[in-house]
Amino acid sequence: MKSSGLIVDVGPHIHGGNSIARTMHNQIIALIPAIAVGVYMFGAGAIRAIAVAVAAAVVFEYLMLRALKKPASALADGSAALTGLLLVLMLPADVPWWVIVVGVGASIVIGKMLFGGLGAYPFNPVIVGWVILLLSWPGLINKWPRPNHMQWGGIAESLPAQTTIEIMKRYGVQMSDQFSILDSFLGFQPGGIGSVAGLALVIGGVFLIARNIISWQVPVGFIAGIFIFGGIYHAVDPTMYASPLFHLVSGTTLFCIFFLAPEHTTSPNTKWGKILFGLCCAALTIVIRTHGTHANGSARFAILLMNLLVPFFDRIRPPILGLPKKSKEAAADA
Amino acid sequence: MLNSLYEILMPLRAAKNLDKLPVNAVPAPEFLYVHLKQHEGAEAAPVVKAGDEVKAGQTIGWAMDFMSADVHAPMDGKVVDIERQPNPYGGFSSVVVIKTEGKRKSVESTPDPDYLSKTNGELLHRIRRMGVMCEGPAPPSIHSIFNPYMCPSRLVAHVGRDPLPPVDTLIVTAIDEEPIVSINQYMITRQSNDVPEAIKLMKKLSVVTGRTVLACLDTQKKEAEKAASGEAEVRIMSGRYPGTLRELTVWRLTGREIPAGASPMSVGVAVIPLRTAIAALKAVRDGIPQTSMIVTVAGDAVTPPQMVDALIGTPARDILKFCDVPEAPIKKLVFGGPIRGKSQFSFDMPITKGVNTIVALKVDKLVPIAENNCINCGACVEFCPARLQPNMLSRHCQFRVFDEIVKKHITACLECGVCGYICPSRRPMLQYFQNAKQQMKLPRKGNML
Repeated sequence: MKSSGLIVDVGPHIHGGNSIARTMHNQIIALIPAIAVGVYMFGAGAIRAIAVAVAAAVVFEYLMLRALKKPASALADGSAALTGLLLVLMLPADVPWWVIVVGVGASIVIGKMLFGGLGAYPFNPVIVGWVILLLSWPGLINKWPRPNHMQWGGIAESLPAQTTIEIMKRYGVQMSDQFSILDSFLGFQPGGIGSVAGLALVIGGVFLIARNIISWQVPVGFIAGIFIFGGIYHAVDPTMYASPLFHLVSGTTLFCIFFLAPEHTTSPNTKWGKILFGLCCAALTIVIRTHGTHANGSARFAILLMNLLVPFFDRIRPPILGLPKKSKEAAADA
Repeated sequence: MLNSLYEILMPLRAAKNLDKLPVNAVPAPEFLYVHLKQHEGAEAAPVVKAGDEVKAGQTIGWAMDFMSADVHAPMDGKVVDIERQPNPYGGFSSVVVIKTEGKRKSVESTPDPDYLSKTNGELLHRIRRMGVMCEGPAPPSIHSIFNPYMCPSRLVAHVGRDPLPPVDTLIVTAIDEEPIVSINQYMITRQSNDVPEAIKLMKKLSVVTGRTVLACLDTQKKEAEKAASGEAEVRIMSGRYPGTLRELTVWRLTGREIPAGASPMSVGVAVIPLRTAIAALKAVRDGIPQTSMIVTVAGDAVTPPQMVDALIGTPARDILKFCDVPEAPIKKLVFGGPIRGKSQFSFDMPITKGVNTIVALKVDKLVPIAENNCINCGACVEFCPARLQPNMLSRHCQFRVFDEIVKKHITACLECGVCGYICPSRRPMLQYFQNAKQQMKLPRKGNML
């Protein structure tokens, strides 16, 4: 019998068409509304920062692929560009270019490639890069420009531009009430380029969920957690603790909910694991914001800590088909 | 809403309306290559030698154990040679090469209208002598469906468990496991006259004490209700792919989960595809041996899909020629469904009793599969019907940490291939699992019934 030059391999012989590139490109598309709001608020400086970050991310990824002797074609999947983009969207628009380069380099080299690249890192590389910047140049990356088109009312006019959370921490809840929840949700608040635009981020997040890029469980768990734990604090003493809605729309909370927490590699896989992961992230966010000193990065620190526990969340899963449900064997091996 | 989200990634639905296609008989090729191993278990022993004249329906191979069935000459002709050739389902096996004479004609039958008065043992024996098998990569015989104790490979999973309970549910399924495959749907629309008698025969063979269910797609409810004519209760099931597997059919209809590697008999359920039931009925009632298969020819190289009736031993090349499919653009030829079928290296590969579908794919439909990193997206965990962790299992398999995969219960894997179908990294998931099971000598789920 002669070979007919056919391809022989194991099934499945057809594929659903999902790919890493589709995942990454869709996430970049989902960020476009947030970028647009950022440019509207912070002007051309935002475009400069984004360009520097994406270019640096691609260059660093290429150099690391070369150094690790991996095919450079992996660049095309867009994961490096997404990492750079996500990082710069959390930084102030007028941050020096070298800070962006160092941050992106830390994300790509230390956060991502040294662990083995996409799929292998234990921590969200974007947050790793941001934490390194925060520890190295806290003054530079927490110095917020005043957004255009924003109405500054009352005492806030006389203050330096601070995020609503910083104002809440320093001057109390009453002071932060000067910023309306709706304005904050629409993006009229000092903060990172793309992380302040609540409405735009929600649009992007819903797009991702509808396209089945991220699952709904992590965002829903996160939002529910903010309302539950923020609500408990608020109910205990509304003059001491801000309302859950304030927690949701201020700072980077929505950015974390839709773009950092559901990151594939560093979030759990099972349905209940994801919901609990979101709830725990929310609880930590509220606790750090209320009692911690780094109120500004509370959601990111919460995600960073919860990333460590992802293997444990993965163990919360349904019993395997056909195994006796409560056997000792199954319990020991699960 | 949730259903539509699900379909973005998992559009694997049962074939629609393929069963309405006309079925044309493929003319007999000059040479038929009849494999003596068309089943799990031992190869059948040849009872003819080169130079013998054979008649259509004459036994040419004797089954050597209970998991196999006899092999018959599909046509009048002369045995040219008995040689070792590659088997479409892997390995080599003996092939009886028959030079055909004359035109295709129906085989001689030995009817037995009084079959219902026979004992079950006699009926099973006669079915085995008539060579009736299920379809699939390692098609089980009727014997191994109703008597798992007879079959060593099935028995392994039962060691240390309680004895088999009596069968209280008999499921005759008119749903095909994979997309494109449509043989069972065909049976319910085209051969509905035989359905009540076939169900009656299956009830007798399985000694069912409780209910009998005829599972069908929602599009075929009317036909099924007419065909069942009170012999069985008709239950509609969705034709979405992993749920159509036999194990999951049992789970969805009865709520019982089959232990890893065991047969449905271990939870008191007998499952039999409708085509096999009707073939068994024809074997005992009309005495017609199984010498031909109704094959769906589909794939993106075949427009539109067709159904043909081909003799066992017909090379795929003749079937494609009969269907007017040009060979040049075909890059992959699959025997069986598009998910779990076996890809063949040659157009000369003959069909066996396991082949109910031929899928021909062009190059632009093929996906570059490579040992990419798992990005831990969790899609496989979400869709795994056995509720395993294919992401971790595949990494253990990739790096040969075989102790771990046993601890993580790879034996529960149904080998449905859904993880590979949705993987964004395009990892060869099914290959990892099959290879690991092979290396660990763990029981494989070929077509467990």
